Amino acid sequence: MATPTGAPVWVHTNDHATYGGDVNKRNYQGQDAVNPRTDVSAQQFARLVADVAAMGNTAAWARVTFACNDAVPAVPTIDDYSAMSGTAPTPTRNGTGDVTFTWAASYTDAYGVSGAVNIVHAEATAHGTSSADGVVEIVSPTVVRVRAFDAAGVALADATLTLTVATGPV
Amino acid sequence: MAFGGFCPLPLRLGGNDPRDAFTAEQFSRLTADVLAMARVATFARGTCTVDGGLGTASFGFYAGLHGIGLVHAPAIAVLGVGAIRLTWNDAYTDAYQRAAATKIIHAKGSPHGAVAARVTATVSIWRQVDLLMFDAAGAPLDGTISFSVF
Repeated sequence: MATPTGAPVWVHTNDHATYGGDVNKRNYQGQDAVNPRTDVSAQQFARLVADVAAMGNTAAWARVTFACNDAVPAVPTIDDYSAMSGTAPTPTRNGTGDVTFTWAASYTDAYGVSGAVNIVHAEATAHGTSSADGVVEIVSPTVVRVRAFDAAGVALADATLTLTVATGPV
Repeated sequence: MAFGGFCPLPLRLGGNDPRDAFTAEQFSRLTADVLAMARVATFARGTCTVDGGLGTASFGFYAGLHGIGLVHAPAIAVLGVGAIRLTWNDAYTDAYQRAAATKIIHAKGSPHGAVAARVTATVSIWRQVDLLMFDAAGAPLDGTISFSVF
């Protein structure tokens, strides 16, 4: 079995060369694709890997939509979660409109290659029909805290927010 | 066997053994998915801190389609308390030195911290974004902002 080159994309160490690109990439013996229905040329492959590497740079690590449970204090409910790998982080209720998410230190890709999680970017958006804001705090490379406030700056109870986090090189 | 008569490239699609084959169907799926992701890909994201009182601003993290790391970050200028302007180059080149013009159409940001705050993001021109952070009362507020640009 071939072990993929490089690290999982969320580690942010891959470039086009990791995927087989090369600035001097060429077709064998200079022979371009003969049939576009069956062949992939060096030029096409080079474009593909360059674009994949570029998108990997800015891709988010995870996106979680969650609802705070404050009226009846309880662990926040994760309504939706998508990430490059793994299952949802562990949510913790700190108080009204105040939630902490904890991810594992590392996750594995589809080939079992592990990569560390190093969260360096976070954005939160509040849902709803009235003015509200989400404020983020990167507590550690694997822990992010989110607080919800209403228009007056008061902690917002039972808020629903979407948190997006991105990782950087360790 | 994925290699064709012109081994190793052009790649000849086909084969039956998944261990060394790459079929037209698989490649079609790969390219369709890559294109779909490219259409909604984030142009850049970063985290920066502004101190309008001192007139300083700096990046803690930056990643763009053109590269990851602070060396690739846009120019950052302090406009005032809690206010910065990010200016990207006219164009960037990929790993193969193919250039593409910068054309920003959407930006957003989130405040960091433990108190109520909000960030507005304005695309002032096609390669420039202004980020302004405010407290709950609407007063300019220094601090750290995470932003995304599309």
